[in-house]
Amino acid sequence: MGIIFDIRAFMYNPTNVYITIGAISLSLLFFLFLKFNTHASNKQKLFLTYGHIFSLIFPIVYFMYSTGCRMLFSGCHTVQAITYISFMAIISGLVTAILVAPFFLFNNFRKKSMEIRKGNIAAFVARQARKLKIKKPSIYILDSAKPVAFSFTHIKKTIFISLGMYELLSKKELESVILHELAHIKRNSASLKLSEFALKILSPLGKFASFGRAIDTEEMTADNYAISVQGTARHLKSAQRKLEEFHSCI
Amino acid sequence: MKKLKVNGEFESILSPLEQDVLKMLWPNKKMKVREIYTLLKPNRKVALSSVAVILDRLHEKKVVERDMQTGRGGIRYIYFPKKNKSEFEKSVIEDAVNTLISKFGPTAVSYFHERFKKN
Repeated sequence: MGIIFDIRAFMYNPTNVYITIGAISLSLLFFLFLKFNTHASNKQKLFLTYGHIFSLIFPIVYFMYSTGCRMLFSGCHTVQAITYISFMAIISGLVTAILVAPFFLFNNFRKKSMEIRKGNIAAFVARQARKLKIKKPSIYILDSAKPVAFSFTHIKKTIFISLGMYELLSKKELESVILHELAHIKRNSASLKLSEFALKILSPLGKFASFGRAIDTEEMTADNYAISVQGTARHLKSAQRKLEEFHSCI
Repeated sequence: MKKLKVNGEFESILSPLEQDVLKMLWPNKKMKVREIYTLLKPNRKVALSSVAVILDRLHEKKVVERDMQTGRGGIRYIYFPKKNKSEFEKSVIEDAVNTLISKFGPTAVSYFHERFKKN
């Protein structure tokens, strides 16, 4: 009785067996490619990650949906049917939450920020975005004295720079930080971080796959881009030194 | 419990740099981080980042307030004291007394009663 009985009943239908085994095999295949194909590009990594998560979750949702709904509409085992449907809702909700979380985060930061549309920084961002052939990102000054800078790519291409950082750095140092963030936007580095988070939360195999090296590479590539545009590492290095100084004082 | 000196200095409550920064802002001045840094630099070895950290810390302690101000030099924080020196002293004493009362209850109250009777 219970879930084992329901799984057996579910698997009695050959179509369900094919779907389940097919999805789990596909999921494992995606994961193995993700784990061992070290030369995969960022786009390939994203495809493999979401392919793995989707094909892993799909059989669970499919089982709960078909079994739960069948029970509910046949009028038998109402409590069990509701349990299945609730689990399905929780899993779907979790997936949605992970995908929607950046929207809330973005809005939260935007509420605490002031957009810069004119002036030297806005002109610099527009000029550099044209060079990189990307849509000009919005630039916001975040109301925080802690020196931080980060960018969003999915919702709206945006660079957030805290007022603390804006005050602490010289013009050239600030430009090096902006160039670093523009490189992240161009390369869509944020997707990689979000995917790693989703993989760790949603897949039991998540802890065996790490994007650490890929994320480090992204940081180095962004640094190198800033250095190549400025023609010197001096400004980026002095910006990093000031940030370290600030954090060592806390 | 922090030791309280009521002679106007706050060595045990604020760090030396916090005190110097507060002295700049009292009585009721509005200053930018760089302005405070420029005034402090001749008298003590200090980095701009340290002044920024101290001001942020004082803001977190609710000793100073800040506004974002847009001007010719771009956007800047303007810091100003939340309380003047004597109000700040009063709030420090109030906190200390409240802590003692909540910790020792009637014993602390009767002690204060005896102490004030002596004066």
